[in-house]
Amino acid sequence: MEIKTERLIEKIRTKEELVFLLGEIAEKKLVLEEEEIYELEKKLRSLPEIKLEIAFYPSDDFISKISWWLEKELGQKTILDITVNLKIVAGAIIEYKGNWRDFSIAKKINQLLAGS
Amino acid sequence: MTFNPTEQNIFLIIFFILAVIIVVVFIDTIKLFKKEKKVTPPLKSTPSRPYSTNELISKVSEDFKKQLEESVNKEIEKNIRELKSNFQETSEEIIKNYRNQFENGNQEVKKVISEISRQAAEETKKTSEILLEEFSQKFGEIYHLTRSALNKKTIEAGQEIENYKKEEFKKIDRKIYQILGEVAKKTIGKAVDLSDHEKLVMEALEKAKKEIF
Repeated sequence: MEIKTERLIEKIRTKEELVFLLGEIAEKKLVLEEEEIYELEKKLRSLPEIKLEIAFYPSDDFISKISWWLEKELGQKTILDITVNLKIVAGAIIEYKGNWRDFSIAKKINQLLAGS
Repeated sequence: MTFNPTEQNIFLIIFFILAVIIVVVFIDTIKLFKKEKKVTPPLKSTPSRPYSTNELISKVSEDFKKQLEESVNKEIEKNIRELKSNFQETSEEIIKNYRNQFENGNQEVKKVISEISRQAAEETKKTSEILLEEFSQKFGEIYHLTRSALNKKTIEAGQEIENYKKEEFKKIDRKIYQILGEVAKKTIGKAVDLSDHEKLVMEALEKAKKEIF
């Protein structure tokens, strides 16, 4: 039973997927014991979240790639909250556990123009 | 001390001279009368005519009286002539003196007026010079003050214009950079392909790992 729960958690990469799964749990669409559902929901809600603002619509593979990379680097499953904003031109704005960094190309352009 | 020849003074002088002359004539007459009295000899010793003493005295008295009258008249006429003459001379002299004095006075007055005019002209000239000098000085001061004030204002105005220009240029620069930025972002955004986007996101994550993970 625990293996089933673990597989479900592994499949979750983004916030949309998490919300979808929590919705399934809430609607009791999952065939799981009451205790298992409780444990699953508890684990899902305790997963850390990372916000990514990027300038393109990412492919499924790229989302998997990022998710895998984050899990490897952070040592735990992390939920991706991805927002698409074309104004940042390229790169990404990242927020993790209250820390925020702008690694966008728009920022670099602004800095270049401000410095000239 | 100047002599002021008014009509009253002239009258007083003439009156005084006339009074002196009258007194002199009166004294002369009295003297003459006394002299005649002494000169007349006593009628008693005349032996030619056998007049009575009273007749003789009476005759002598009449002759003497006539003689005396004539003599007095002559003397009076003489004195009057002399008096007239003296009076005329004195009057002429006085008039002459007065005329001279008038002339001298006129000369003096002319001199004084001339001196006053000269001094007044000199004073006016001096005052004009002083006023001109003061005016020049004041004008110079005002000119310098006005000039320095204007210079200050000009410098201030120039500074204000310069600041305004700088501000306006800054605004224009900001707008230009804004436009340039927008153009650059759009251009670069269109130029970047999907693989580059992914690569840039991965680079961002690498940086984030170092800074915030």
